[in-house]
Amino acid sequence: MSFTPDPASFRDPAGRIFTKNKRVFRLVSAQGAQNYKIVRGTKFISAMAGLNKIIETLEVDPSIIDDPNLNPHYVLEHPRLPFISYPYEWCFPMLKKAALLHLELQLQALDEELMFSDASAYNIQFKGTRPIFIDSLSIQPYREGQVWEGHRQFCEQFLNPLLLRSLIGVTHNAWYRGNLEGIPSDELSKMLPWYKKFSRNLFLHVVLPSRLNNLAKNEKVDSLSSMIHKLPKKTLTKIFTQLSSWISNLKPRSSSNSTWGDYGSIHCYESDEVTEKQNFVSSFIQKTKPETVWDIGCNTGEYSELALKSGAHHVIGFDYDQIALEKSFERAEKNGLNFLPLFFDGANPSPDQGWNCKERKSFLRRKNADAILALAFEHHLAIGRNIPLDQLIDWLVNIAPCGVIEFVPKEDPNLKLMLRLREDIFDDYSDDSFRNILKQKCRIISSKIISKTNRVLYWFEKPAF
Amino acid sequence: MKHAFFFIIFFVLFVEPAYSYLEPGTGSILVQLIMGGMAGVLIVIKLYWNRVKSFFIKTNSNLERDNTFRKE
Repeated sequence: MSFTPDPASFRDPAGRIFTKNKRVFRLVSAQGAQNYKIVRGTKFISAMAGLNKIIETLEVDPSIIDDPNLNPHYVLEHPRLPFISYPYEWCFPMLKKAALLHLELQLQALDEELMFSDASAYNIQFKGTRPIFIDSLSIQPYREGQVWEGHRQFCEQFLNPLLLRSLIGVTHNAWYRGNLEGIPSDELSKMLPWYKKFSRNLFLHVVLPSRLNNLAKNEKVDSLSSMIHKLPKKTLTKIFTQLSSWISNLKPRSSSNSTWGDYGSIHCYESDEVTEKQNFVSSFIQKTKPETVWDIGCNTGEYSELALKSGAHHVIGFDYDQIALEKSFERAEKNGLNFLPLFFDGANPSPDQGWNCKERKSFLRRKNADAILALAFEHHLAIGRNIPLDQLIDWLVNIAPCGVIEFVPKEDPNLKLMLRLREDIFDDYSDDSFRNILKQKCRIISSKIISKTNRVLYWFEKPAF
Repeated sequence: MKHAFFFIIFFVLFVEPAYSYLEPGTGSILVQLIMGGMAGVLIVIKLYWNRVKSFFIKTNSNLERDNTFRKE
């Protein structure tokens, strides 16, 4: 079997990621070998891996690579992560946590005379709620007097998206997904009210760099090439410390228009109905024993937590609502759950994109679920976004071999609310047609009416998945 | 000629000294140098001075060009 290079690993010629038989290898090229040798000698990577801040790295015998076209100097192996997510799928507290990890690692690295060659947010992944740095080759020996080459990238990929939400109240996800490289400082700067630009940190890290960038664009600055090696180390430390303390105080600007944020406290069910729903989901998980569950429309993570307590190992949650996602993340952090809540629009999930349309994988290309939960979700697409019921069911049952889908009928108050200002064009939307379509596509193991408004839970299985 | 000029600027500023695969951004470097002390501030002053100079030089050369054009 040949080695497949990861389509996202092409920027840094120091090395490439390859996967084989579900194992993840990093091949260090001749160009990266010298730096790697020095970094390896410092024990920084192993110490940080011990604290779960950098992914574990194991050196393996290069002869494991039996491809004559590849001639690596070193071969490293990393444990496979349960799921790869992207910063445009993270909510505010996740991006903030990732930014703080990056700065913390920079500071620690500097103590060991090391420095990061970039500041890509894609180099951080989440294991449950813990951010972990995954690109060991971007750690390089510190050269006396060098500047922080990743500053601009750090601002675009971490700082500016956080400021967008914190100062203007706009979430970063759509813009970040469109641009992939984050939010440019000059564009953010144009959006900021003038009086905010006088804040010291904002001026230094966003407004001034974009101004100076424009100023120096057409200028020949010979003196700069020598100055680039003359930044005192203590200034670097100060920059990292100041950024870290600034970011740790950033909060999302309050938003009161969340659709489902207080869903947990609003009742759609009587209390005994909640128990019935919980029992159904819990028994489904206990019987099917899925390792990974995708909770589509996870809201505040109540049922993701239940799935984990019922035996699932990991849950990836997906939701459109930012406040719900933030509450999910808070729940996961508070209760130490192996739960990763991600931003997702069911009618427009993350696509294959980036270089060659392969660099960042789509929602479906990353599917790894053994089971799905889609509770109180289908009506948001079927009614809210006019997705035909048969297409919607087909899409849902092809995500995982089994799952639970909740059907919300027209008599439900939530659905009435959605239809209150528009014509009801959904003649085929009924429990009967839902059940019939589901039956054609897979096996219904059991179903249960769980509310007075006739919401129904369906446990489906697709044997030939 | 214009392209060659950009080419030189690019190599002078980034490729030789930085050993980096990432384009660090002139603005980001300058801000760090400013935070690092007076030397950075002097570079920025020089940049602004060049801008002022080039404004007058351009204006003069434009005038000269206009005059030549009229004579022809």
